[in-house]
Amino acid sequence: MHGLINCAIERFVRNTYGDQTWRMACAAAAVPEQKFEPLLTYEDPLTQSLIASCAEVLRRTPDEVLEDLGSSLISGAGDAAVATRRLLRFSGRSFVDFLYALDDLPDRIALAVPDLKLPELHVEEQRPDLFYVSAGEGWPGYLHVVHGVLRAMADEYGVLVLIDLVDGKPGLEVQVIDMAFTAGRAFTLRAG
Amino acid sequence: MTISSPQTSLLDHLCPLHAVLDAEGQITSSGPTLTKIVGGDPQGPILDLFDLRRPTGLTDPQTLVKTRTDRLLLSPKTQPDLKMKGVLHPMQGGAVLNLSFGLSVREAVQAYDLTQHDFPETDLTVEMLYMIEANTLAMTAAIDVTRRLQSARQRAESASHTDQLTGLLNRRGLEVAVDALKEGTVPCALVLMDLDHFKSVNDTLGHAAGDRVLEHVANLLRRYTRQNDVVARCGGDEFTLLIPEITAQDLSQRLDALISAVSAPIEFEGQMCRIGASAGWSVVDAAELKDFENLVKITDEALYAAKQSGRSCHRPAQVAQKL
Repeated sequence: MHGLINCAIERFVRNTYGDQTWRMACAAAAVPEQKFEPLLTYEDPLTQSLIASCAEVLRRTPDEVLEDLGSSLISGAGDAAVATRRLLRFSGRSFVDFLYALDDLPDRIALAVPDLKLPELHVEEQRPDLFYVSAGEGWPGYLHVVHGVLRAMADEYGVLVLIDLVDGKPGLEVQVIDMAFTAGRAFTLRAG
Repeated sequence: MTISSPQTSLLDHLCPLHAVLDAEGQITSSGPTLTKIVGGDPQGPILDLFDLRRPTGLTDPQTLVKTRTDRLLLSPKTQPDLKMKGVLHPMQGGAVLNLSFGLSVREAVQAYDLTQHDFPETDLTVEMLYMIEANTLAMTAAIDVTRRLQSARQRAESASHTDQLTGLLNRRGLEVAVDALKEGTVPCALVLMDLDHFKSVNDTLGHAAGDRVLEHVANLLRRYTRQNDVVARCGGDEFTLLIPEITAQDLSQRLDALISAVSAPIEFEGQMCRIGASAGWSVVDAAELKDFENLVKITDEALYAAKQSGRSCHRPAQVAQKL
């Protein structure tokens, strides 16, 4: 797994639950040096056992941890979340544009970090206000991270949405309730 | 004017940074982004709003509108630092001018507070801004990693026990070796050796020659010592040897041979470097090693005595004489 992903998990746990929780999770997953380098690559099983031990330490399911990880990428404290939400805002003028652009997300991310290969995402418009989002193979639990990201991005755009896992189907259903629920966060092309 | 209103709407949509000019070079209509950057519906001659940087010498608007060109370079009068690119397409009764921010796009976004809505979806400007921002972040991460590697290297170097130039032990390495010998029970000889005339090699032939001499001496020291002997370079041209289980007589003979080997001229890039070596030494039992500082002090006095008696020789310290 790319070091950036592991660094994101580290930042999420440290910022949300504190260094002590992070040390406990690392100890349980046997993470060397209890930290990650953003530009190195690590074995996939290490990331999986890290997620599992985070869930155990936090007494939550791995799915819930991954969803919170996703939303912390966007709305977490610190410069890192500012950077991700700005980069994602470039992909669409509105939340619906952003949903359509999810198909391009792996390519968009590879433009920024060529060796970071994300699973494919597919978006299907079922009604003008109802979308079905599914993910390609590769990363178990990836759709939960996407769930968290979508929830946080809807907030960014000021849109009220319902996001649910659909029984018996492998994807997420995104229902747009109100496109102008709040003003959302201002976005200018100007770099901060 | 020959541009009809449906065509204007098409241009507004596809090329929001355009202006329609009449035969006099007056603006008759403009796209929404151009309207935004000039601050209101632009009127009058185009050259009242923009300075034409290229092609040079073209000041007559009537000639300009008849020039079909892809190579216009203009600057808004209000933002003279921006260099905008332009394409001019003459038509019946005027021309269409389409603009782009070119390489000034970052400054333009700043100056005019442009948003995604100011660029058509097919325009790659927004993607370019994304790339610039992503690149800046990646560069920051890379610089951060490089800095940390550098500081790790410095820490590793300062913790090293080896002299980088000669591969002998350095002062820290020597300290560790001394501590180990203090723990043991074997008698041991301490030799302090300085090179003679080393400074003049450095001064006349340069530091590269000096380094070559030091490497050569280090190789001789390795040749004239045994596997378990401790050989260290403690800065400059000062060498320290710790030789366990050796008699004063053996050591004396060995130093004679070493000093004579060091005194042979060394070739460096066609020049001969002539140096020598002076040494002071002591042979002590394990207990006397405990006060290593004092041992160094009296051995250093012997080294001084060797230098005083004409160099290229060695002298035993006071403590060695009683053995």
